[in-house]
Amino acid sequence: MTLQEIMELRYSFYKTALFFMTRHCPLQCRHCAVEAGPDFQETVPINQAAMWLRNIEEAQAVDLIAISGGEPFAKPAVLREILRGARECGFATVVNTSGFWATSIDRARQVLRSMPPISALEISADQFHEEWISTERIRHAAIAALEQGTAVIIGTADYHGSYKESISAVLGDSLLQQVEFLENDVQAVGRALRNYLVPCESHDALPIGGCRALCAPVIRYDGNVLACCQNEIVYQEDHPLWLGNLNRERFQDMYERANSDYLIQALRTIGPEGIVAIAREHHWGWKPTKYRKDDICDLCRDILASPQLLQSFEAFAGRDQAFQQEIAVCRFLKYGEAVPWEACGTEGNRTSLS
Amino acid sequence: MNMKNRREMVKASAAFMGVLGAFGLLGGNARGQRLGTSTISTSTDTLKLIVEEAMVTKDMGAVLTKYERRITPQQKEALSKLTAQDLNALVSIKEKLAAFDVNMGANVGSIIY
Repeated sequence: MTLQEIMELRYSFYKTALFFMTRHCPLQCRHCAVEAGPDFQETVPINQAAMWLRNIEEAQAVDLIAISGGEPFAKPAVLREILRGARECGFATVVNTSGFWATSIDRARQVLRSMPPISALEISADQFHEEWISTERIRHAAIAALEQGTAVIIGTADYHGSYKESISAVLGDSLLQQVEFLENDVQAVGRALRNYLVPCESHDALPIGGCRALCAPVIRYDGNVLACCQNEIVYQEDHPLWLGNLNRERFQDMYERANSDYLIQALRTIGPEGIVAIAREHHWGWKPTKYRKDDICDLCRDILASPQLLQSFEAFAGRDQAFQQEIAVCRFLKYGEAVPWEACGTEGNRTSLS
Repeated sequence: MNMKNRREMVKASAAFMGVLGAFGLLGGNARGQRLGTSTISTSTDTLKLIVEEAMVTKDMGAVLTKYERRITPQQKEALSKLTAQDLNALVSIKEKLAAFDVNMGANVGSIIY
């Protein structure tokens, strides 16, 4: 499975489910978005993993399960069960790991052979992980994975030229030709925020942009399903981006709710700034403050923390045909998606501005 | 976005709804179905092809002639109602949406976040 194939699934609506199977991790990286660590033991109950996956499969929406944590390989029995269940359901799998377990090539082979086949291994490798484990382990894990036909992606946060040089030297030319690199930013959440690893200055300019991350739901180790990947923030059951719990309801219902939810679809297309524009246009009295530069999550959190704004938005979105039409067109143009709502018929309908 | 542009966007969106409807990409036909099902995918792919080309050439008539065999008379009729102004507005919407994703190159992004 190539990185391009994975990213296409990642950014198609609910083709990928992100499975945060544990909060346990032997490392305690300074930038960790979910603040995982050795003291946390929360993990998917082993007897429920397969049931949850069958629940997801019944919706016939998801094609890829991206497994993360914490560190999935720190709970090998649970990871094995998830991979087995995913295989039975016909899902492709990506496992996100630090490679801590690859102490030697032989050990890496042994660990991977004990698991059902994995479509791709995403190894997190950057200056933050390097403070805990040697880059050699990444090489071991990559070699063992490639031998088993598993694609290898090196995922790097805050990718710098100097780090690329050092990891390239360790991997060697032959391996470099067989792995793919994925560059991502340090998320302004969790330890990264508390340790001031991201710029904290606030600006008047509103961060603009639709949220592509909302294309994939998050399955937490407790069965809660969230629309947003910042799962340590959106964990309360009354949060607007909380979708349900796999122990209590069908994933199909959660999928359909998310697919027809005006708030989620507005955040994916016009973004939180688009919602602020609507609030201003309709004089709802909600005023933005200052936000970190280009950080749409910062603005989104502020919007979602205002029940009054959300109430106004919900009432507006349900009745305003022009808004529904805009979102439908934006979903088609941005994502090539159909929309589940009638979207107020065809041309000639009432619009809020005409 | 200023009000004039927003009005054009709203107008183009309203006109485009007829097109989405004709291709079965609205409401009942799309609801509850896996977005990757062959019917929805084929409709989406065909429409994307036509709209992308028309947004570049601004000549919907010529594009419809080219793809006539791949669409139904109803779909052709809905598409033929899109004016040059509508197509320009769709281009603006698409550019605005793309501008939001400035940092999202092929090797940039995150699988997990």
